[in-house]
Amino acid sequence: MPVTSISLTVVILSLLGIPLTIGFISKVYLLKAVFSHGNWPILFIIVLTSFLALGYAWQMIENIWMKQSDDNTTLTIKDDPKIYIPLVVLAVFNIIFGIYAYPIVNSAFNASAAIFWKAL
Amino acid sequence: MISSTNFIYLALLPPLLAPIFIFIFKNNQNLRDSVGLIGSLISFYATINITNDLMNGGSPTLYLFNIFSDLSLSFKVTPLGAVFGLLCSGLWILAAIYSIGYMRGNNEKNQTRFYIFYSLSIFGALCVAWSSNLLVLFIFYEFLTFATYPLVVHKETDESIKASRLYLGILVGSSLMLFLPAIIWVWYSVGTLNFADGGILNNTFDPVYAPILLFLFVFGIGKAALMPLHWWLPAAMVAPTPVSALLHAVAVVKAGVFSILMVICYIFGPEFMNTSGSGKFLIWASTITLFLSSVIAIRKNDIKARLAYSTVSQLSYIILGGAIATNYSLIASVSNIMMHGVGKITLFFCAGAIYVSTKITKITDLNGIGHKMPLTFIAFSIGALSIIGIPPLGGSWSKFYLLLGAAQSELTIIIIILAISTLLNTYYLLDPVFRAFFMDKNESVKTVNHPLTVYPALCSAFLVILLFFYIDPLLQLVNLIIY
Repeated sequence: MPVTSISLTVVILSLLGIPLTIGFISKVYLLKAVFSHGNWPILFIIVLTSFLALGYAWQMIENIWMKQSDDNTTLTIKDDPKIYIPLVVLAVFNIIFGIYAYPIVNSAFNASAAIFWKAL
Repeated sequence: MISSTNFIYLALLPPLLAPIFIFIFKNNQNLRDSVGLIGSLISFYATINITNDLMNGGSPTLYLFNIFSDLSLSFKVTPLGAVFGLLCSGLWILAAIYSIGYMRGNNEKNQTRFYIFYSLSIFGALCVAWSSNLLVLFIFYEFLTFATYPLVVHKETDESIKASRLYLGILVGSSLMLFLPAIIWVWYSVGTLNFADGGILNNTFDPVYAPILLFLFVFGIGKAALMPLHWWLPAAMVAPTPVSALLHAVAVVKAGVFSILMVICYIFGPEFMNTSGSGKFLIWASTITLFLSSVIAIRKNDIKARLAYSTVSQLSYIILGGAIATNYSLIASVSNIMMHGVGKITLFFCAGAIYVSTKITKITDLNGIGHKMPLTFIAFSIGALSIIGIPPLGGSWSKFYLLLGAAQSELTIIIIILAISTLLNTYYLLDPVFRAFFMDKNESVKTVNHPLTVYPALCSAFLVILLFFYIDPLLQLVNLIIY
């Protein structure tokens, strides 16, 4: 199932906050906010969590891509192309906005500005 | 006349697009294997033109678009980046030829996947070399890690899966935990991440915290293999030899020390390094690493493991030069990026050629084999002597300047340790050569001839000699950094 596997890999990389995915952009903003607050325990927790995430998420990637020699169960895979559409769309946009993040970040800025303006 | 911006496109696009052609031609072996070679030639030609433009006073830049409101995805060739770019794209030509010989000679599986990620790794390394700010550097630093992962795990055995886990865990873990926070710290306190001559920390960053920041940088950049983060490099030796040669002796590890030098030269600035005293701990950390890894290298019997520890040691020579941060020591660092790269790729080419022809991986099995593979061992000796630092070979320049730099800063103990380390280098790198030429023959070893693995080694050995006499362009480039 190459399409599913590739999409899943992209999404896992995004979850880890690896560059060229949207997860990286939000992580940068998160870290920047922590620095401007000077809240060091939070920084430490964020940093530690990203390392733990690497541990549990990578296990999935290894299992998807590496051939298991001792595994004799045969899976019957029902293929329905329709199910690929949302997967591929999400994965592709994940990368596009991970690289060309400016428009999304800009609208997020406007949204948060609107919220805070109302609260005042 | 092509503008230097277009030359940057011309250098970056071949390694990025080659995978598409490799995939299309996957059923035609000859066509598929020549894609990488053609790409490397185009890329090298463009890199030479970019470097020429830089030396004639130009500043080659390529702007794509903004990632954040105040940070762009753009490339700017610095003198340091030009050296690293030349090294990567130039040696890619030799490595492209060599990998054809090695992969066919060994009947490796998954060759298409191998060539695809090989090419992508070169793309990552070139983008690191020419990045215009720290964030772009970080993006492609991570890209390089993930592009090399499939190459390390290539054999898909339990051993290689375990090793690649260590590889990824150390490199990605250290960069996410230390490198990224350090970048954000600089961004938050200075307001920019763009590389600038003389550094950007000068007036805005509190010198008291400068050593902590540098600590986060040098240990966050795990690719530089500073102890105790060096474990990934010996682990990565499970990869096929062309990967160890170009990526784990040149592109990946040099991307690490290159990033550290960029941080020292264009973020901290040599002046701020010395006034804030942040380099002091790094001088000791790198000296300890270069000495200890030499000691470990002696005890290794596996050829590739011994070369890997020798690489760890040589990387610390480069970091040491950056940490001292004087004129001479920076010349030493930049020239050692070039000299060690060419020397070490020669050694790995030879190690791979020996493996393809005889299946030998242990140094104690090399006895008397020099008479059967004379060309390979001549190339090996030249590469080894250059890394030890014996004239008239390229590596002697960088050792010479590093000693000058250490003397300039009156670091007598460092000079003594460097001298001892050189003695150790001499022993562990020349030991295989002596065994091969002067020990009794082992008649049971059969050799098969694979010329495509031998000639690239000879070419790079020739390059080692050439670089001793044509050091001038390199010094001119370095002078642009120090001005």
